[in-house]
Amino acid sequence: MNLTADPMVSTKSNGPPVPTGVSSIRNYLRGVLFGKEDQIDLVIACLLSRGHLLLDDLPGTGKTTLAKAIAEAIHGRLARVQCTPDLMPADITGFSMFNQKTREFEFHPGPMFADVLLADELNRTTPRTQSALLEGMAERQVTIDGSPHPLSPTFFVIATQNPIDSHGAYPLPEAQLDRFSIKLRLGYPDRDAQRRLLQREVHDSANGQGGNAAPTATPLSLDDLQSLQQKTQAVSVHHRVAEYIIDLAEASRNDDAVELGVSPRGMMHWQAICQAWALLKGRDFVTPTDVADVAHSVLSVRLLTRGESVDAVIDRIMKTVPAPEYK
Amino acid sequence: MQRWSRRRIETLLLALLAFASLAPLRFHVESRRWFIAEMVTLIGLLAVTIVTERARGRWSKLSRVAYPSAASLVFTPIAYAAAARTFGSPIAFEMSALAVFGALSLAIATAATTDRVRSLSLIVSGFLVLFSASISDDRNAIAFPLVWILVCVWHLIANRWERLDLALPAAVERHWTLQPSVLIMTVMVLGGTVFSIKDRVWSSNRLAWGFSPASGGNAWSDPAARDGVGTGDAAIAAKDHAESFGAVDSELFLESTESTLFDMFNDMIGEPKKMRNKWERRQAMGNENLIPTHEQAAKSEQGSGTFSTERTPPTKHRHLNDRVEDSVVQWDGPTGIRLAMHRYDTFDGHDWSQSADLKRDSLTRVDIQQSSWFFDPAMRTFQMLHPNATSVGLLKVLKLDSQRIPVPMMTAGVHIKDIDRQDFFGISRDGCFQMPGRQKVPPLTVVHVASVKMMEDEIRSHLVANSTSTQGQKLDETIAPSAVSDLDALIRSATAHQTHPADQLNACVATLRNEFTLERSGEQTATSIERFLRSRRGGDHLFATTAALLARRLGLASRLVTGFYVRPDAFNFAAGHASVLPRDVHVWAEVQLDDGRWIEIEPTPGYRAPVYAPSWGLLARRYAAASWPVLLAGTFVFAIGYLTRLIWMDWMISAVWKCGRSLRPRRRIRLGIQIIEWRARLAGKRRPIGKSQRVWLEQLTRADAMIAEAARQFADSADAFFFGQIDETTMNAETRLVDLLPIRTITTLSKEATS
Repeated sequence: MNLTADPMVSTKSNGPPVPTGVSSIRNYLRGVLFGKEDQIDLVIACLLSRGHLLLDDLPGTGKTTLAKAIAEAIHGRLARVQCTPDLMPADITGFSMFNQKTREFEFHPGPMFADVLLADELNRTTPRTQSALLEGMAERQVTIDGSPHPLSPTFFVIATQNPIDSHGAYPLPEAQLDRFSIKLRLGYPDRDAQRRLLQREVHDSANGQGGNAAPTATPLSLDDLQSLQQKTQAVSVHHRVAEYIIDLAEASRNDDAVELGVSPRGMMHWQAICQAWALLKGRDFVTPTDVADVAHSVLSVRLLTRGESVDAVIDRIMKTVPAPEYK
Repeated sequence: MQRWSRRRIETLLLALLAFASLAPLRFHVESRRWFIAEMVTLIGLLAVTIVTERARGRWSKLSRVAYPSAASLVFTPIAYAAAARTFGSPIAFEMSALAVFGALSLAIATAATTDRVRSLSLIVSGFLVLFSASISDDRNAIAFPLVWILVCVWHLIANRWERLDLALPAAVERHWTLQPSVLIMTVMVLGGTVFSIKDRVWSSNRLAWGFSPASGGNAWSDPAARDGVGTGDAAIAAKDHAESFGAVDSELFLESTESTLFDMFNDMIGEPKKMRNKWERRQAMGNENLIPTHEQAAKSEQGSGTFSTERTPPTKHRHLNDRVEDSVVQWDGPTGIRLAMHRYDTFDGHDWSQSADLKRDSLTRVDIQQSSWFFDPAMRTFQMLHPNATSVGLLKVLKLDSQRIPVPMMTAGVHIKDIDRQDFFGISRDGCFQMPGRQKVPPLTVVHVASVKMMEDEIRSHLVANSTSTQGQKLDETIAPSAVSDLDALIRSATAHQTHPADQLNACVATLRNEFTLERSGEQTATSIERFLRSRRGGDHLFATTAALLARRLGLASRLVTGFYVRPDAFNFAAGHASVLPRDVHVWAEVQLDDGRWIEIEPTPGYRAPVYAPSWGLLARRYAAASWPVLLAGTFVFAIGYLTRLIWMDWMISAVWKCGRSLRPRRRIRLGIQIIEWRARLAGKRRPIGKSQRVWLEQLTRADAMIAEAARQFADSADAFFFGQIDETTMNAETRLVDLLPIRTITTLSKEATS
């Protein structure tokens, strides 16, 4: 695998053309997160398909960096919530406060009204607060005191959860898990990427900057992102590919080792991610390979298994269901 | 309502099959009317269960009937058992129990809602079909479990294939190249197995040990089983349990031709019905009225109000002189053979006589299964060497005025039931079995004759020509010179291309059989050997003499044999034996092997030649000698074809691809990917089912950048054609990959990828 970011872009250049907006986000993120090309593409696919992202990872692997970089890459506002057991729903949705001067209630929007919301360690807060996120994630609006408030049209939730130290945590309910499009695990970068990471720190200190310096690529505007999202929705899905998704979903429901299979909503998320994935590859149609490429990320968030590991079950399902052929 | 899933249909089919295996056991034993009524009820209930359980819409209330009717299926055999017993034609308890099993499996197969419960039906029906076959007397009963197991294996594999497939290790790929060798090995192993058991399949049903699944007790618990039919007390005692299958556990019962308890009672289970209110009595008559031919009996009948006495008509006595057929002896054994009575080893030009003294007064006595056999000591050694080649025939002497016993060739020993006296048997001067010290073998004596079969291989290895044989040289002195030259001319013309004595002898015999004519009486019938050789017509004694003389000229010791020929058409199947008539007297010749044994030759046309079966090895050698160029060339061509199979298969596939040049892009891509998959399959790199063709191609070709690029282009255009919205006329198919990927390349690429 090619480890450097820039040559990776150049190898892609002989494929079909990728929309410029996409490549600029991609370059921006690659300048921040080293050695994670596939995960970056999945994050972008999640963003383009108007889904939400669940990161399941250890501390210090670049979750916050990724969220910040996405916010910067789309010129959006980033809000970060550190989820603790005493976090209240109003702390993230916002609240109305009586203004003595105007003698009226004024609405103070919470972090949910940002363009990118990073909900750190979501499984540490109470189910009550977790479910406050539900309406926002699905409907892109919150209802406070009976009145609906629309959220940003590009509202994107990046939630993280820590797989270790689960003592006193509230595992996310299935209903909430299903609202996330994909689950990702960034993992530790490889050796080369780690070396470059350390070198960058030295270089930045010498320049008098410090911290995570912004990469040089040009960011995208929110309007550009919205048009990209519309473009994603227009990517065509052949009926045989759609049937392949249905076959896989049904196989996941019928598998003996699966307690809860893929819901119809999960299938819709899957198709949307596939569309975005096709767009990332520069195509205006989805192929069976796209479906298989994103299957692990899409299914790992919403399959509930008995005993067997989720990855093994997904592997088995992908192996048993025949992919559409060139026929 | 349940769908008609494949599992359901197959389970039901298996249950029906198991039930059907029970029917032959019951049909002939029980009252027909009760049996048919029970079957009709069961089928009716089954139909009701199936139909009601599928009821819906307006009739959906009917589905409530389904489960009760399934349950009543199970109770039907019990109800019928009780009813039939009440009305006087009881059904055996075991049969009712088995029928309950069958009905249970049917009920489960129809009414089960989950696959787990349905599997229970398989277990029950499997038990039933195996049990039914194990207690059946019919040798064809094995067909039921065989068919059942075949269907069941199919059922299990077909319905659980996904799990089986997943249980296979993923790293092991199916290797096409293994298949022919595996196939050949399988055929060889199966062929060897079949060959080794082919003669024994029906030969014995004896259980060496173990539990016999019958309720008649075993060798320890039941005296009837321990002793066989025995005194009859056990049989009478067993009458109290007449529903029992009878004792079948002891070897005696399995091997015995005597009736078993089961045979004794299977036609009337329980107490025999009293057919009429009459009884019979035999009554002795007064001495003064005795008429010997009437015996001494009369029959009295006493009905409710009548009494009558009438004389029993005398039974017709049959004496030996009353027999209809004029048989000399009766023979139960293979037909088309010769029974030897006299042998002669010396020829004086006109007549045969015996000069060597082979007389032996005491034979070797061997007790085999409590019967005394008397063996010729010389033949006993050969018989011990080939115990499997021994066959026993039965000879019944009727009207034979001779103390000699007519026996087939290679007879090793004889046995007469209950005779254990050594001095009753002996071998005469000329080497024939006889009963010395009496004028003739007593009529109606049944002699068991054990003879040893001869393989052609033994003849070929033991038939040695002795050029200094005195018999051959003596000929010059005893017969006319013209006859000697005729004999030599005959030998020369017959054995022109033969070197082995066996072949030479066969050729001479074949000449006699083909070119000479059997004529017992007529103008041209020869009376002497000289005239016979000229006229080529004569009786069987001339044929035999000529054959014996020819053998002597070849350097083989020979002798003339007289006796009876058992005609192939003489066997009376109804009577179970062949009758040998006085007109079956026949003359033939024997030739000696170097180990002292004598083999028959049959020179007379119209008489069946003795059968010396060649072994498989000899047959194979003969076939190989006859057609080795073809075999060699065939093997060579096959080997070359097998070794180069990838090359010519690739040619053929490429030819198909060339034919597809003119196809439209979409069809062309379809053909292209099909061809690549064919080739990959031949190279043992089949595409896994769940892997998309694009990913598979990328993984297959990643070792070579140029081919990988072609694969990417191919997959891109294929994706666009098959999953994109593309106008077929505007785009070309990128099918360069198909030309770049012959089988060799696929093999190389996959080797590089794994190394």
